[in-house]
Amino acid sequence: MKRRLSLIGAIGLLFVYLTGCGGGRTLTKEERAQGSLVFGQIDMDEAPSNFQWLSTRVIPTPKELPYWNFGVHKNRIFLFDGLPKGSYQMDSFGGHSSFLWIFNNQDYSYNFPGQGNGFRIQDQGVYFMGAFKYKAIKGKGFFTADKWDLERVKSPTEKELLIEVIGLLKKMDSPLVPLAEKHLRSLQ
Amino acid sequence: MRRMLIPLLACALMVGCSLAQVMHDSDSANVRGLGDLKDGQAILVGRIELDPARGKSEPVIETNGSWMPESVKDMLKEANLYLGRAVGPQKGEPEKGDYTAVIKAHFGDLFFARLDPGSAYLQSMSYVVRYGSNITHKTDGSAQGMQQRIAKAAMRLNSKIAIQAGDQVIYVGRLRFKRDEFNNFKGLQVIDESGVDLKAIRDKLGATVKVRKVLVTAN
Repeated sequence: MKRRLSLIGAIGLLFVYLTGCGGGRTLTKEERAQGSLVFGQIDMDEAPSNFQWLSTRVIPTPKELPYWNFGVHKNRIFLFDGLPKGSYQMDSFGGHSSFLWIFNNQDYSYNFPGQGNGFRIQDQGVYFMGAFKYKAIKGKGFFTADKWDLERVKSPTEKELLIEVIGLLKKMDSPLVPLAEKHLRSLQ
Repeated sequence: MRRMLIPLLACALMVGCSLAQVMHDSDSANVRGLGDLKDGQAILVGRIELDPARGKSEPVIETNGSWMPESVKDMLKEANLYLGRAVGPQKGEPEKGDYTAVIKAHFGDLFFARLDPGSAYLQSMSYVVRYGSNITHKTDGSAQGMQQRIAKAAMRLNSKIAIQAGDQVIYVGRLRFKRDEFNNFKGLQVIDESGVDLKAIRDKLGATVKVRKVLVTAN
């Protein structure tokens, strides 16, 4: 799964509407218990920013609550415990640049292409989206924008990442811990 | 009011400049009639449609109250069919240098576009899936600029069309692009509607215009 988009279209485009409608609704613990665990990882070592948020869009896109925001942990793991059934398309992710941990003055938003990047949740379960690495691609000329790809990587594996995710779910007091542990056993 | 004028003009300029990159108007292959052709050129005629057709929520538009230029409104309705001398990129929308011209067509309507002598490839078709813009503000609350983001889907065809001596119109029928809910290309269906379209072609280009039918396939 490769994603490529002009960095010029990404830098600085932290849209107000994304933050405004990204996670407009908070699920109750009972609702989360009915949903699915969706998780993955993005290695942002080559990115100009850290990794703070990831947003997915409901398909077909409703006017009310079109986005669901994933939680981002350890600057690399994204997860959603309790995503309801439906079709979703990865929309965007982002963070901010920092210098000496003091000057966090540049927001970055990386938009997924308008095609592909989709997944369907038909039954409650555990869905591993994959492990990816942000790859910077330099433009060819002075006026050519830099680009980026998300390149699928083999490490960590689903099992390795799920072990970390279960630790996070326990800290969050997630109702999906038993579901995740059952899935982990199936990966043994 | 005057205080708002300069920022708004700046917004308009920014939108205009950024759209110039997107629209590629100078690359447009659309023609009005045979009079627009030079020696050896022909007119490509057909229709583009999506299956399933666009729903009410497509494309996704998030303007957050900001002004939308007419050119953007047109862009949101349009399909772009890229013409090139060679096959286009394996994925994504062709970039400048990959293609020679763009046919802009409203979904379902007949398009009329110029074909240069020789062979041409219908490289791919793209359309806007999401459009977002919002006005940014200074710390004092006044408008500072406008930010945009445009996401497109591209469906690769790479269908070759060879112009023959004496060609005036090449009719390719209704190009129905099948897709899933994530706008992944699921196949091309070509529907020959020449019985109906021939009248529209002759009404526009003249009763004696010579039409040759070429039904393409996706490669």
